[in-house]
Amino acid sequence: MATLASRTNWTAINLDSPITDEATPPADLEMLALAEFFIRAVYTAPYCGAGLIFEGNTPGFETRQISQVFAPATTRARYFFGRYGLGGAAQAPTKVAGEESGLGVYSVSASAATGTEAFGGIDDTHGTGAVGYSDTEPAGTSNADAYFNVRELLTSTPVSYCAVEVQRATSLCLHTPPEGQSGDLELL
Amino acid sequence: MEEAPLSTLLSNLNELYLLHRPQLIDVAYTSRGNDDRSREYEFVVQPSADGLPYRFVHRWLQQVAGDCTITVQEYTAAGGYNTINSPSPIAGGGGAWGELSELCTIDAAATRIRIGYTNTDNYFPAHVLAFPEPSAVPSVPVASGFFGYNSGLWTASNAPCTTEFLNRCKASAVAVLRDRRQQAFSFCQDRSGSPKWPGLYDLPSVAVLESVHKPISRFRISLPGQTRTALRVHCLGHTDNPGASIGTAYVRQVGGGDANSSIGFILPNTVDSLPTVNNAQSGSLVVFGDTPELEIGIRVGDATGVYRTTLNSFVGYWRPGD
Repeated sequence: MATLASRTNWTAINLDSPITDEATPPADLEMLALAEFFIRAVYTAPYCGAGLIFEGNTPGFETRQISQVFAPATTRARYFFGRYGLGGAAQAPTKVAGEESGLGVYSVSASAATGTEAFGGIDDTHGTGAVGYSDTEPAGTSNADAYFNVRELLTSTPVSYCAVEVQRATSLCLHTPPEGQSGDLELL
Repeated sequence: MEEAPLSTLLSNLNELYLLHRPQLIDVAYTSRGNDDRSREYEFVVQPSADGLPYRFVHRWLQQVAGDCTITVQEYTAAGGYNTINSPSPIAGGGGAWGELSELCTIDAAATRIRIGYTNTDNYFPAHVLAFPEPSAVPSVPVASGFFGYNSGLWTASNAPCTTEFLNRCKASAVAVLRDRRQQAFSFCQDRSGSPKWPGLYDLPSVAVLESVHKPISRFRISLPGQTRTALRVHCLGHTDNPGASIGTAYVRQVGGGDANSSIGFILPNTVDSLPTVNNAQSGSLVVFGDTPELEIGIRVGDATGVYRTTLNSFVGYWRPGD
C-alpha cells in the first residue's frame, strides 16, 4: 500500500489534544499510526502558494526572475497570474518559465494576447479555457499542459527552490495541486 | 509495542525540525530600474520563536556591468536595526541576472526586515525568498514547543515506551508547523528617495496612465487543503496630507468571503521612522477556499490631486491551524 503525501485541513482537526492521556495505555497500533500521521502530515504538507504582487508591465522590466521553495514530495505546480490591461490594443502574452538547479526542468506557458482586459483581470491557467500555450523552451521539451515541473525529492533541500521567470504580469502564485504530490513516498 | 517503530518516528521528528522549510519571505519588488540609485525594501515579518537561521535568496538584474551589494537588516524593539548578513560587492556582467544565497539568523523578536541595495551601475532588484534552514536539532525543549529526541534514552533493550514519547510525535510536529509562518501574499516597493509609485492619487477618471496608478492588484493565493483560514496581514505606508490621516489601505477577498474577509487600515500622515514613528498597521483577514482571490488597494481620500498616499509594503502570513 502506498504511503501518501499529506494535504491536511489543519483547522478541521484538533491540534492540541494528545494522542493518549492514559498513563499506561495498552500497546495499540492505532496510536503508533496516529503518531506517524502527524509527522508525515507536517513534513509533506504543501507550502502556502504566496500571491506575489508586482509591477511587471513597464517596457524593459517585463521580465523578472524569482525563487520558490516547494515542500518535499512535490512533483509539479500550477500557477495563477494576473495581467494588467491597458485596454484597446492587443498585448504580448504573459509567460511563466523555470528551471530547477540547472536541470532544465522547464515548463512554459503563455496566455493568449488579449486586448480588452480590465485592470486586475486574472488569467486562470489552472484549468482549460481560452488560454493558448506556446512551444516550450528549450526546443523539444514537451509541454502537455500548464504544469510547472518540480524535481521530486523526499527532502526540502536547498536545491528544491526553483528559478522562475515571469513576463508581463502583475501577480503570480505558484501552488501545488493535489496531483502535484508524490503518489508513494516510499518510491522517492 | 516494539520500541523500534517509535524510535524511528522520533528520529523522523528530528528530521522534520531540520527540513520543514516553508517560505517566511517571498517578495517580488516593485521597483524602478535603469539607474544606480540605492534602494531599500522593508516589510513586517513574523519569524520563528526559535531564532532560526534562514536561507535568503536574492535575485536582481545587473542591467549594466557593475557591482551589487545587498544588506539585510532586522529590527527589534530592544536592538533597533541590526545587519544580519555580511554584505560584500558582487560583480555582474551587463544584462546578467544575479543570485545571492546566504544564511541569516533572524531574531525571534524581529518585527521588520529591511533589505538594502547599492550598485555601481544600472540595476533592477527583482525578488527575495527566505526559508528556515536550521542545521542542528535542539537538545532541549525550545520556544516553539518542539522537543527533540535523543536516541541515547533508549540504549537498554526492553526499555519502556512512554506515553510522552508517543504524544511528543504529535506535539512537536504541530509545534514546528505552527511556529514557521508562511508568506501568503506580498507587495513591496522601494521606500527610499525614488519609489516606483511615489504617491497615488484618486482620480475622477478610471483611466490608468503610465505614471499614475489606481489601487494595486488582484491576485490569488494557495492554501492547500484549507477551507477557512485566518491570515495575519501587515501594512506599511503613509499619506502626505499634513492635516489628517486620510489615506487608507485595504485587503479583501473577492467573492466568497464574509464580513471578516476584508480589512482596512488608516495610514498615518507621517513617514515611518522607527523607533519613534512606527507606521505598521496589522490585523486579521479570514478567507475561504483553498485558492481565494484577493485584492489590495488604497483610497487616497482626496479627489483634488493635491495629496498623495504611498504604500510601502503590504504582506500577509499564514500560521497553519489558524
